Amino acid sequence: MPDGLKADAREMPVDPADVDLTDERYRVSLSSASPELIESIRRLGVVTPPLLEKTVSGLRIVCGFKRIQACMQLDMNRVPARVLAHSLAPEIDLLTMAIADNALKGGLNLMEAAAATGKLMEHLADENDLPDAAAAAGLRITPDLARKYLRLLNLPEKIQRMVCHEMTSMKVAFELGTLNKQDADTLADLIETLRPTASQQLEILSNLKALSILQRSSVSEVILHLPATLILKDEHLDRKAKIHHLRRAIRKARYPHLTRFETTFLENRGKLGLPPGLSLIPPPGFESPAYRFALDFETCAELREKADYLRALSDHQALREILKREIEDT
Amino acid sequence: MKIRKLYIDPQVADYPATAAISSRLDAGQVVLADPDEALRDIRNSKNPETAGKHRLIITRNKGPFIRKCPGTSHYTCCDYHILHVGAYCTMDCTYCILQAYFHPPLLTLFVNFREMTDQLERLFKAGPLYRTGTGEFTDSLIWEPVYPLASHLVNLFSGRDNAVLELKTKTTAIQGLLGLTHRRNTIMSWSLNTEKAIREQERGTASLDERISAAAACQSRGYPIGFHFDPMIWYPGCETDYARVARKLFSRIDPGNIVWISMGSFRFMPRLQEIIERRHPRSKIVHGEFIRGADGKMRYFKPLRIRLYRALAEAIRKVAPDVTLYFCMEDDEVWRKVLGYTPARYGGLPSILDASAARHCGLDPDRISEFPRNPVDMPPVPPV
Repeated sequence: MPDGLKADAREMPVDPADVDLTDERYRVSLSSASPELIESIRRLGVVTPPLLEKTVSGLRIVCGFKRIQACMQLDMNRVPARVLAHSLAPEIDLLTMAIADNALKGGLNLMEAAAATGKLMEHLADENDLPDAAAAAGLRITPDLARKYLRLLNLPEKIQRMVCHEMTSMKVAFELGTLNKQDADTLADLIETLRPTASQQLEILSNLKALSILQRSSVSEVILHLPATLILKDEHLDRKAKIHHLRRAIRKARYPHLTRFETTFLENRGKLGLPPGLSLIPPPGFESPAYRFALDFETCAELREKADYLRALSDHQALREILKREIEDT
Repeated sequence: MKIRKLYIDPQVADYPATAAISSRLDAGQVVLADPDEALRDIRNSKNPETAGKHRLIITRNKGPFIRKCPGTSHYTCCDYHILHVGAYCTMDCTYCILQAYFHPPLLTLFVNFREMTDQLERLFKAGPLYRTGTGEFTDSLIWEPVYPLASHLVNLFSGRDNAVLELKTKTTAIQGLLGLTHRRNTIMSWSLNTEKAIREQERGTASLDERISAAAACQSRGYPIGFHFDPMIWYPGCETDYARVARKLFSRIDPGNIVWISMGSFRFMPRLQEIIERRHPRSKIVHGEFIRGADGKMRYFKPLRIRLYRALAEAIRKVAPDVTLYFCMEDDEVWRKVLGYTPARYGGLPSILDASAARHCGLDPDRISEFPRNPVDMPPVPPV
């Protein structure tokens, strides 16, 4: 807290009922009071008094939304607080303090940082002043990051909530934001239900978007017509199995020739009956005609044995099929 | 596409070509104090790739006019020489690599023709045979209605015994070329595609029929002809459509007058995808079955490319078994599986093309390093 404000804030007990919880101009944290915080206040009381500002009608929170919430839940009617007189400090200073209070304590999640950036921007005449203003609040925000934060704030609430709860990445959130509401909701539900990893989400999303363009239909319709739709409802399958089936079905629809070629390769490789420690590796994307064998061995005898096996393989019909590299007509 | 703004580099402000071009364009003119100002204008615009199609800068080529085609690693290049007369294009093909190649893309026309002519004269005096063309960084004929650069080049190449000029286009701007004395040193080439691909992906270009008619008109005036099926685009039914294009082509063009036909499938640097998706959000073209090729570019999954090439090659071979057919940036596996041989068997792709150019354009065969001397040495009719 700036020294001047420190001196002007008077420590006094307040009644949480006098605090206007709907005034969120300085709110940075988007979460509510945790059970741990409530229990700590119940046992020890409020260790660090919240900072409040007097208003015409009551009190406004600058720092300590969760502490006040916890006190209300505990039905406390006297809470120690530091109270500033009305209009004593410029709003930007109080906002900086509120952001710093949150950022330096437990850090901000992506949406909180975005919200803090948005609020700071409202008080700045020139967006180039943002990095400096953010630094005063304990945040490192480059102009590029600021642009991304502001883009996050413009996404539908549901997507913002997913980012806030770390269910999805900023990149996926932006991708979801390019979809119409129904498609974004469908995918958001899918992500919320299955919780795929960030890279799996990106893969699913980009393939579905491509399919919707190729099929000239919405993403929701594409999902509806996937053979994996029934699998998603199968109660006997766990989450990971469902993700696996879904990704496979999407990829098959997106890359029909390639996946069929891969399947044929895998079938033929299976027919080779390779022993443990000997594997046949296809070229990436089947682009180069050169395949590789990887051979693990620990003794000369083992090497000899596997080398003999390899020699015999060169006449194997399945290997010939693999090396033919033809796709069937459809 | 209308040119809305004409930037003039002060270094060329008093060139006759500058005066001629600016008098024929109904566009606001700016003589730039700093030529980079034009680039800044484009960079600052909301959609630089579109903005760059409406603005033309007339300037000097400060680098070499003649460059070797950059090709790409791991795939066979034809060793073409690019005659760098300008940049970017007024037509608007979704897949155009020039959108991502120039930073930023801006219509550019170089008018220091004396330097260009000097460099070409040096090339004509040099030993080997040169296949040269203007259609790599721009379309060869887009500026013909404004300035007859191609005509100037046709005259310049006429009668040379070691160089051919290839004018590659998707336009029909041939009127100024028909009456020229070219002595078969200029190959008039058209980029061809299926009617569906032209309609959906090649905005502002001539239709397939118009292109073939233009080729037929050039043929009737004695020009040797070339065709480039590049980029070939995969879609359901495309194989039948490409075969139909081949049939249509040979209904008007004599196979014996075709110097070469190239085939290449759609491939792109990954950064082009973002541009295509932004500018053409409904285009399906970037959503094919692509893999990352050995050179880092996205290409159709190889067995799919082979299938596509086979369909076209078969249709071409049925009518024109002796025409020189080649691939732009493919590897030996594709050559072998589609045409039945690899270029190395005939001294490499450059030699195959040099030989074809020499045969069709009457060049001096002694200027070709590995010129196949008799028909036995020539690539066979492949078993398609």
